[in-house]
Amino acid sequence: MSSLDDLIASITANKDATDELTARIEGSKQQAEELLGQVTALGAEGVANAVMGVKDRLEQSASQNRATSLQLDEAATAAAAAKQA
Amino acid sequence: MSRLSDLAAFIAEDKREAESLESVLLGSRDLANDLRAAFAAFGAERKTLQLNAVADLLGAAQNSRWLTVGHLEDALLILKGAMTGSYPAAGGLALRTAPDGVRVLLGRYGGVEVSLRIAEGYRPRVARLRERLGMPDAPPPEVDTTGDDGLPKRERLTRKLIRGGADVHAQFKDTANTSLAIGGLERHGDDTPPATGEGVASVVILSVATLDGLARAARHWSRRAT
Repeated sequence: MSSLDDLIASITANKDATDELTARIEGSKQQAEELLGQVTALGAEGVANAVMGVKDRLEQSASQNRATSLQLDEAATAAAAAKQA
Repeated sequence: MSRLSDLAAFIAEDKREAESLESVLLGSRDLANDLRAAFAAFGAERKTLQLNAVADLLGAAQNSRWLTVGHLEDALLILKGAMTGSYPAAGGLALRTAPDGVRVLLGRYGGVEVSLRIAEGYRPRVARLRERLGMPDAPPPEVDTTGDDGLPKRERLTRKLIRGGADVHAQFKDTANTSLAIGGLERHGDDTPPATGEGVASVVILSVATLDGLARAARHWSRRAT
């Protein structure tokens, strides 16, 4: 049978990977911002609106991923408490 | 264009990563559930409750992760539209399947996060529809019958059907109006909606009535055949 240690390790590893994913999404958002500046300067309004939409979705995605990280953190803490009880 | 493709490639990679983490998360949740079951079998109540809490938190994390993937998918759809010269997803909703299997329309409308759960598998009867929507068993007693006189029989029947599900009709009309408003946003400046909420709701009610009729006919013929 798997132990509580396995569970805690699994959750912690997922939390770390989640934080890395947030950084990656932030990187993509940075790219979208740069692209937005370029297409706005070119006056390509339709593309600029689309890239703005992409940037917005990336912000939401990163924010949601941070929420996931917090929930995983809480889950790891709860699992650690169960181990000690 | 190449910058758009580059950005799409980055986001697609983010999405793949998010999806792979989702499967890892499911593994953690299974582990928590196995441990909970094992402790429950030993009668260790406190540990069982604590592992319940862990499993619940992992479930919440799974929902958040699912939304993360959804937003990335939306971003990719918008980019795809921009690369093909159309921008259909720029302000619209995307249809997705939630972890519990329910279909959900997700997106933003007027700066507000929209999440509409799609009720599937309506049993074909207005009464059941009403029950499903949490409405009273009977339609409102005050039905407007003005304008019925002199109408062709088929039209009178239509009006009767819609009156029979007046409250359901109102709800579908409201939903349809919201969808049409969102659709209007997507069409960017096309102020003429192709349909009205009233029309869409009527079609829904009539479709339900038709399905009901077909189901009744099928039952009737299968009884006759036996």
